[in-house]
Amino acid sequence: MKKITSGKLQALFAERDTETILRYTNVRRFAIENGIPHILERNIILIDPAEFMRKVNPNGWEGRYEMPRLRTLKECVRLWNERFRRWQIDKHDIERLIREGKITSFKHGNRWVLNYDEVIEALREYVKTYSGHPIARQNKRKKPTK
Amino acid sequence: MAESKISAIFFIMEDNMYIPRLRRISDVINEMKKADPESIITYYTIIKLIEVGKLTALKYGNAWLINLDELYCILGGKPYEEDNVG
Repeated sequence: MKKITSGKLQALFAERDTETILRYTNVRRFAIENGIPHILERNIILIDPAEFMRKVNPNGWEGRYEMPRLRTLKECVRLWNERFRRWQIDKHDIERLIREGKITSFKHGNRWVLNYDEVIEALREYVKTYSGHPIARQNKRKKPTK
Repeated sequence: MAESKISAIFFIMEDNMYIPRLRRISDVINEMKKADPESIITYYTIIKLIEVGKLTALKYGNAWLINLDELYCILGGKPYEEDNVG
C-alpha cells in the first residue's frame, strides 16, 4: 500500500469532518505509538493510510447516525402525559415496553436511560390497545357475536 | 515525493469511504448538551458504556476518543439521511 504524508491524512479527515481533532502532529504520534507502518524521510513522515484507518476504526464501523434524544423513564412519562392528555400512561407501561425490547435502553445506576423518540413511537402503538381508543373500539366491533 | 502525491490522489478518490467522527468524551458531552439541553447524557454514562464493552475507546495521545456515530447507534439514533439536491 502506498504511503501518504500526515498532513494529507489530516486533510482527508478535515474535509469530511470539519470538527475533527486530528492534527498532523498527533497523526504522526499516533502512527508511531500504534506501530502503523511509516517511513521517516528528511523530517517528512509517510504513513500507510489503510493501516491508519484500521487503527482508528478497529471495528470497521460505517455509516453516520443522528443524535438521539435521551431521557429518564420518569421524564418520558411526564412528557407523554403532558402531550397526550387523553391517553395517560404510567411508568409500568414503559417498563413493559423495555422488557419487550421495543425501546433502546440501558440502566445507568438505578435509573433507565431511554431513547425518547423510540418511546413516543412505541407508545403510539401501545395506546391503541386501550379500551377507549378508536382502533380498539373498531376491533371490538369486528368480533363476531355468538 | 511525486509518488506520495499520486498515492494521495488515488487514496482520496474513494468517495464513499467512511471517515470516523472521533471526539474526546468531554467534546461529545458538550456537543450533545448544546444540541439537546435536556439530554441526560453524562461523562459517567459514556464511561460505563466503554467499561461494559458496548463502546470502543481509542487512546490518542493523552486523550480517550470515541466514534460519535458508534455512540449514536448504540443509543438508538437513526441513520443519517443526506438530502439529495437537484
